[in-house]
Amino acid sequence: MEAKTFDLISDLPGLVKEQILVHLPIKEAIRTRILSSKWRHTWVSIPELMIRNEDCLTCSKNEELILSTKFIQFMDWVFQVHSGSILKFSMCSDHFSSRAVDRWILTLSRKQIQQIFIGLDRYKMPSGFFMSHTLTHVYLEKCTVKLPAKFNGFKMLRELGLKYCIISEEHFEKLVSSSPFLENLSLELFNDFNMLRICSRSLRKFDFWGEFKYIHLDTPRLAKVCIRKFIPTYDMRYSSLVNDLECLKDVEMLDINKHFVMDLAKGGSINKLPIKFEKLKEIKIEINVEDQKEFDLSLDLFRSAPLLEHVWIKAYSSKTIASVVSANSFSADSRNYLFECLQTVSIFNLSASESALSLIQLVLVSAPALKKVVLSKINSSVFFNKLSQIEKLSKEAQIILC
Amino acid sequence: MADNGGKKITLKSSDGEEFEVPEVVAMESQTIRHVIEDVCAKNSIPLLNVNSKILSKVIEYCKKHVAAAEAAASKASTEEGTAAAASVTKPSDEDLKTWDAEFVKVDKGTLFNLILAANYLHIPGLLDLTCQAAADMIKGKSAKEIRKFFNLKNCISPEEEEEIRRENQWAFEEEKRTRAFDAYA
Repeated sequence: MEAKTFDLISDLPGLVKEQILVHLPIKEAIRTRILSSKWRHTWVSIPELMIRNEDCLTCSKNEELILSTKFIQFMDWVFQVHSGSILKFSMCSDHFSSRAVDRWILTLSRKQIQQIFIGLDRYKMPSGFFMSHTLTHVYLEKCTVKLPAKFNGFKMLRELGLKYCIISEEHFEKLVSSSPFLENLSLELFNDFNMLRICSRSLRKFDFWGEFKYIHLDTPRLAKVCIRKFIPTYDMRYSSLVNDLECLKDVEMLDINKHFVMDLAKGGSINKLPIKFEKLKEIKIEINVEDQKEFDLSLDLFRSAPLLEHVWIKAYSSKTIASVVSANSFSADSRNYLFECLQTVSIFNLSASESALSLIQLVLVSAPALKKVVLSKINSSVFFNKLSQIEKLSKEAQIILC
Repeated sequence: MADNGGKKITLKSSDGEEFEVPEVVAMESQTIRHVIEDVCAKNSIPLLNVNSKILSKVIEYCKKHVAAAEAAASKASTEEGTAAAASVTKPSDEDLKTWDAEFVKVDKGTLFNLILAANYLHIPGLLDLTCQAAADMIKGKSAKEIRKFFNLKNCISPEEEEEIRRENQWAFEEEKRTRAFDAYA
């Protein structure tokens, strides 16, 4: 059904042709205008503008890559003639002109811009950005963000991602709290905050990678949290660490990395956590199984989550070999609801040690609803044999090695 | 993949062939999802704009992506390094990307029919993938080459062409330098 003389492409719906052009470097997209009269106007109403390095750079006389002034002139013209809305704009480049980008963002603010991705080194977000009331998704990398005095928030913002950006604690807090529909917040490479404070009635998902000394979350709807710290923070009091966990007590999914765990485990001797994680169903945690404190902390966490269904543990080992860790203190307490709803446990990178055995044994004998235990990267048949000899509380439970 | 015998739905192509698929796979299409959720599912959904050859490819795509999503969800993600953000690249993404790249290695006619189907059925991932493939076919080609490749009817007058070149000078300039041998007749 492919006749040689059949024009395949020009009769595609306009929106589809625009989608194809969006995937081309801007120059090539524009050149399609001369293909035929049907293509002349497609580009002019393209709903997305993605500026890539290859678009805005040119070769100088000494073969260096520099910003092309002709590109800037051209984009100015584009913004003038473009008709309709521009819903998505992205620009990541090593070279750029602040004034030009300021102009373009101002124009975008009048073109119903919804999604914006800017990755420009130390670019100061212009006033036009803060006036873009239609923004729903914002991702900024390496930018500087300073809220204007009269900023009232992005009333339609749903997702916010800041990576390696410069923003003060105060402005960050205001940015988040003034966006009434913000659901997803992602902070990467954030290392300057003393107090990370987030107040949002709408926030559902929070991802953090960086450092903070203290955290305060006033987020009643927060369901999924992922916190990865760069390095453990020394010099902290246990009570503040408990506060850290306290503000996470209503989440449904918790994902924390080893540095955060190390911080939390510094609480000294086994202190049963005075917090109940009433809604927590999934935990992803990175622990050193050979370290008694971390072992106990993780069990504390599990014990405080009566509805816990799925656990993922990524085991890591430190240089010091601790004495054999045991879970005895927990099995003795019959009032705890440890693992009552637990269905699956997945452990990665576990070495075939006594501590590991002790942990898995605890799971097997306490979890009435257990369906499977998945262990990866263990190739000790001795270990597996010992495991298979443990009497499981849940008859359905399977141990899977992969 | 969870093969728990979930609800199945029948999709009927424009040329009368029927395809039974799990509901979750069919729901990759937002158009079909609307029909199932809002119009209260019938057992068989006729798709008048998609023929059987294309529909079977579309179903193949949806099945693969549903399976990949399920596999990713059951894997641990406590990876050192990047925080899980909207821009996360899951470990299985590489395999899926390779599969996607192979999936679009089809003849032009099929590709454009896939684009139309993805548009009609509202399957964003497939539309994006196929449009990228079409863009890749355009990339690097001169206007003459593009016209030839896609059998475009060149119904544009030389005056109009000259006007567009002038207007968009920047876009055509470098091309002249590097492709001096190409004639735009």
